[in-house]
Amino acid sequence: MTVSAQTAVPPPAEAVAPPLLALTEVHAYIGESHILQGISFEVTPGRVTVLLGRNGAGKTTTLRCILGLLPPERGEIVLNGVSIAGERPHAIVRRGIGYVPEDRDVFAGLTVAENLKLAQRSGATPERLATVHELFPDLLRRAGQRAGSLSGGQQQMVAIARALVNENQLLVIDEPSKGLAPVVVREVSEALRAITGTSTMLLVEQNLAVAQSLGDDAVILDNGRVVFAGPIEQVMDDDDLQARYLGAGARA
Amino acid sequence: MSTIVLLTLTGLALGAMYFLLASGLSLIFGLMDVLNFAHGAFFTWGAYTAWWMITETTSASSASTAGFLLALVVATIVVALMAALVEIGLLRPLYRRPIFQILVTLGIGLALSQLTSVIWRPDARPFPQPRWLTQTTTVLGARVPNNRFLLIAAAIAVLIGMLFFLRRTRYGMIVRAGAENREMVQALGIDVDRAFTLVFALGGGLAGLGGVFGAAYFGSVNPSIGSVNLIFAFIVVVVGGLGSITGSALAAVIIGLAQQFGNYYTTWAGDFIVVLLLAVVLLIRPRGLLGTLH
Repeated sequence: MTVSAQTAVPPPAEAVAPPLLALTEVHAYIGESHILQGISFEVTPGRVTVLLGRNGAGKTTTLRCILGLLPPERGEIVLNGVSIAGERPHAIVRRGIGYVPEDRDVFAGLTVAENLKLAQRSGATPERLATVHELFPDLLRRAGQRAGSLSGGQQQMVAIARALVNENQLLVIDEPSKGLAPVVVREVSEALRAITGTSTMLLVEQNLAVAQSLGDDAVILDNGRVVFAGPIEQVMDDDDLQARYLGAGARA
Repeated sequence: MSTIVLLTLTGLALGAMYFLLASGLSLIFGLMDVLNFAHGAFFTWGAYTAWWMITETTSASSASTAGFLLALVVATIVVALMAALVEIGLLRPLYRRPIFQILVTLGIGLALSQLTSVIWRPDARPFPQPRWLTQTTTVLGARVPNNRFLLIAAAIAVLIGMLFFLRRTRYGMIVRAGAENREMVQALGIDVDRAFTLVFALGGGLAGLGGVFGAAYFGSVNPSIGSVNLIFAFIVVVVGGLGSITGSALAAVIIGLAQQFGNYYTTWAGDFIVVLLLAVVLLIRPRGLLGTLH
């Protein structure tokens, strides 16, 4: 099904693996607003793809479309060879997606342990949970604490841990650094870097420094369209591209 | 003294009946944001299902204990299934349209209540129950009908069962998480639709159970037995705090007692005190006694 894509754009020599996730001409509306106007891009297995763009460019909407939380109006979304557009969110997630939402969205009234337990799907192993606790030892110490009483950074750890307790094919992470103090941002991005080697990731990140430290590939959205797709170094080296689509202060 | 004991125990039993209705309402509202106006009709159907089973199997004015218990179980299951069908068939298509949803539950409530009077005539019918339930036990000089104690015991059992369900089971966890953020629950790979059906059926089953005990409490069934009690159950939920089961239990006790004492000492104050209580709580503590901000 990727025949047309392959004939149109010859793949680089090292990227022979088929994409784990492929969006083709995805259109989405929120109410009357045409938010995504034909988005196409691919996520290569084993790599971290960063979605960049100004506020309102459609980054979060793209993630919500992939998860089925906002069903696309038309277009194709293929995960590991299976078309998932139109499936219900829980069914899509069960195919092996871990999701960390924009505002963390931990369940404030549940304990840390309950948040993680709720996230465990059938097939989640205790070993896996132990690995997550190794990565975030703080969460084991605070297992009995209500998630709502944690700091923003700790809540972000819970949100990330929730996506890691299952064996997932793809991690979808929306602005992990948003609203966090610089010290905490460093902590969170270090935790994320620790899992980049073993995971495929689709990451929305406004903080260019964080994006650069984690990302392999970049996709830039502007007004609901893809305006750039390529290695992230290319974005870092292109001041003009940054000024045009990411706005001043993106490096801050 | 004996009057006070009698009024207290009867008031507690009345509160227990309100709680059986209110606990389901609160559960359903907590997870699904649905104000279920059909809940009174579920109560009525519980009462009539039990009444029908008992009167079909016995012609005496009292029922056997086994017959009563069987009717209790069957009525609970029948109404739970009825609620599941209502949720799947009528509510599910309307989750994005809350006003329509309220209208639908209101309509279902009226239709189901009307149906009982079409099938079994609109007048009140005596409800046969085991003789030991209508006999009295003397407590501090007060002769209290045994069904009052049974009702109180049932409500306590339901309260404990609900707290266990909410705090210790996976579905309970889904309900608590779903009350906070439904979308995130879905995004964790959980089928929220199925949880909704289960919760609606559970709430409906509790209303059915309450209906059977209500019929025993009043000694008769009639088509509006549920709608009359539903009003007080809603007040209990609001006073106790939306989504708090313990709050509902506390409010049910307060309202049952206030109503019972008010009705005994005056001819008019029972319901008035309840409405006054509601107004005072809404003014002083709008989120209810134990409610968290929703």
